[in-house]
Amino acid sequence: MTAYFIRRSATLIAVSLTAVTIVFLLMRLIPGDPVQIYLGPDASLEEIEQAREHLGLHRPIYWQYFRFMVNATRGDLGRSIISRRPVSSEIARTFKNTLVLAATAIAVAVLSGVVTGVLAAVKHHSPFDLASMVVAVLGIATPPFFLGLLLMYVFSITLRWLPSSGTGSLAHIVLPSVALGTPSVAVIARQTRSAMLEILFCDYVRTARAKGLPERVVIFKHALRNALIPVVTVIGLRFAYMVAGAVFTETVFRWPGMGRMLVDSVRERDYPLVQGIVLVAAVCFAAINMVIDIFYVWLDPRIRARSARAEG
Amino acid sequence: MTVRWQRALAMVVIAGLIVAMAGCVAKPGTPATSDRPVTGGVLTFVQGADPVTLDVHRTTEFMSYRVTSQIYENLIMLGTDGTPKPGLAESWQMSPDGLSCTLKLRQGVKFTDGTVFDAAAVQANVDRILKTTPALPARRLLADVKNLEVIDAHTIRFDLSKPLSLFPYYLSHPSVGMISPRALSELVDQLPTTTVGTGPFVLKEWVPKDRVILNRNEDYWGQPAWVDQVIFRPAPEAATRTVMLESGEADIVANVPPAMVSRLRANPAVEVLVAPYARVTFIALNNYRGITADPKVRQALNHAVDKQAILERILFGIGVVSDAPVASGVEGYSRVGTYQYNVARARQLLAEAGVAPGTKVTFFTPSGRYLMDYEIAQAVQGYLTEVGLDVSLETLEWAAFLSNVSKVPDESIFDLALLSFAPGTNDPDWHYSNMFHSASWAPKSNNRCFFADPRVDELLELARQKPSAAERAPLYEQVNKIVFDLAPWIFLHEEQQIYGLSLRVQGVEPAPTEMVYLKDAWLKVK
Repeated sequence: MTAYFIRRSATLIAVSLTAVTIVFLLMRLIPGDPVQIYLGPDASLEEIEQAREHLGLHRPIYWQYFRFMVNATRGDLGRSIISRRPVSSEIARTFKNTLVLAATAIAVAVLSGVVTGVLAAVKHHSPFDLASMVVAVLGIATPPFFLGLLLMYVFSITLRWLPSSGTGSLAHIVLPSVALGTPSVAVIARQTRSAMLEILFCDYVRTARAKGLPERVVIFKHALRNALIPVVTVIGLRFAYMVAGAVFTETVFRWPGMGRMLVDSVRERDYPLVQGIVLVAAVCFAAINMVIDIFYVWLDPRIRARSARAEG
Repeated sequence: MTVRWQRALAMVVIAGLIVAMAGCVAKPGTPATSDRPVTGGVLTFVQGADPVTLDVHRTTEFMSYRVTSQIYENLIMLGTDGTPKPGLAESWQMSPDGLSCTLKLRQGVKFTDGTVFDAAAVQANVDRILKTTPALPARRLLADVKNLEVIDAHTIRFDLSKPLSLFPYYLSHPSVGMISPRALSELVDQLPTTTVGTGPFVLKEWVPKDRVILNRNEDYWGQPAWVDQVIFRPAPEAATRTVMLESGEADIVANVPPAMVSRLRANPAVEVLVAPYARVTFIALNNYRGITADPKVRQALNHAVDKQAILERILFGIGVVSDAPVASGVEGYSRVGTYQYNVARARQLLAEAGVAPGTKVTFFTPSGRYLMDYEIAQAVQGYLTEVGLDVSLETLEWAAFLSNVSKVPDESIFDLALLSFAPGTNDPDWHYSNMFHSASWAPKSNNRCFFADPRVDELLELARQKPSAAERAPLYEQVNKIVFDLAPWIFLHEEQQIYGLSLRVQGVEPAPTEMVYLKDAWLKVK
């Protein structure tokens, strides 16, 4: 188990380093100059050159890369070219918001997705199954952007029940988390349903029923736990995507998160900020995947046995 | 159908009815209030972006200015009619040769940290703007200042290195706001987030990307602001801004897209404010090389495009077709005319210029930077195809676009480029010299079409020396005619600013530079 953990951690570091290096180079290969953007179209050539020099952007790329990497290992991600605030504090502020939104959205999605999926499987071919799967397909197909506006029109303008956007109270998180979570509800529900259907017809489920266990126990203790493995994968991936970039949701709902900041910073060619965000997003993505893998082991004794055999 | 399903169906129907009813709630009666301003209330202003910095000398874009110009004041302020008005200076006098400007400062004004506003305070600000390296953006405005002479505690004189009779306009630019000299010496590193000004509002709190809260400055030297508090909120998505207005979460929303205007006009709870704007949108033609170096071709392209149709169909009629190379609200404007939309004439001119049908041209446009930029470019591409050109339209996001139209003439890669320009202080020299003076060729400055005409250069320099608008007018009139004839651009339209307002907001009058001074705004109580 320890060797496994070390191996996975090494992968995590390698993935993050690769992602940051690619982004570092890409940002400098595409046309566009952060200084020109920051100083605006009215800036004189002299002004632009002075600022480039001040920011060290006149140095060769390898020099900039080396300096960025050395500083990053010391925990210094530099300062944003546009706002001049430290990248680490910009990320800390927005990452917290992104995490809160993603966690709420995934909670909404898991709760309603798993419940819907289990019910649909248990009552498969019933009108409920049919209806829930139609809604699920709609949910997958609806962009969060459009769904967000729709929710705002109904709950903020027409009914005036909830604030349309922004942050500040618990009520503010309702609409964005529903908009962000809905496509995942659909995916999770469908995944749960098919996994459950497969398992509900397994011999051991029939055995469980035959020995007179109540249906509730059969479904939740015997069937669901086994059906959850593929579902957990999906949940983990959806969550990773939410953390790494809920751009549309954050934009429509004015949620001051990291996804929106990433898009803004790419547009403004704010190199240090882009690099910092990508680094954090890559680490999160890889870490979430790692957690899922570890979760499998806990969930499925067979994997545990296999890895024990491999080590022994 | 089971009972459960019937019940579910009933719920859906009821929900639908609620939505429908809420949609047709009767128009609220006109509140019985007088037209006299009242004190109190919190005004929420929603615009596309958060300020980049609150250090006014470092700001470069209008969404930051909209916030900082409530906190900081200038020696001269730009009136809502677009001309210079007294600010922290009560009066000013430009010398007849345009080489110096003497200002009488207002007395009894204090910064919010208690520091007195006087000549020394101006000196401290000018020193910072001129001496900081790398250059502060505000230095552009004072680039021609040779020396600041302090005559007495309340009289100063700017000496200029070359004649610039329009200098008072430059002092009105939001980035040359006056910061407390004590803050400049003690808090200079904190100025991006801390403010000490003389303006009608003071900063209470800034949560980046979420809100900026300003409170009324109770010790303001003039008539204090009416509202207790102003909250600026960023909403990058235009649809979100209109939702916030319609749900009552915003009092003023800026930059309403033309396509949403009819929707807002149909809502009795909000109103739409359309205000003049100094911005012209045009297609820059490469005057330096390629087929567009020939004025006849440029005239042909002007005849080829139906500007009225673009204005009506893409901007929903909000704006004015350009009939001069400058917006009608800017000093120097004189009506010259428009190139008639005439396909036959365009073809004839192209043939006379020896442009074969099927000639390839490259057309650059940004996407999402200027109002309906990409849509306008597509329409223009269609019109030019109609007269036989093979137009390749290259759509780029702003950063890439800007670097592509900032190349030296010999390396320029565009034949046409969609651009838009508004002089930051609404003054004619800023507009004309940036757009048409040969010394302003890109990448040095904003003459990105590489227009050059010795008569225009001479007239513009002469106008800088004339101390009054009346004396400058005939010079600019000649410039307008020459530029119109040589057609360095396809002249399209001048934009108008579109705001959405809640019915309780009064006293809002935007300046043609997109500034909205909220000192005079007040909220009706129902």
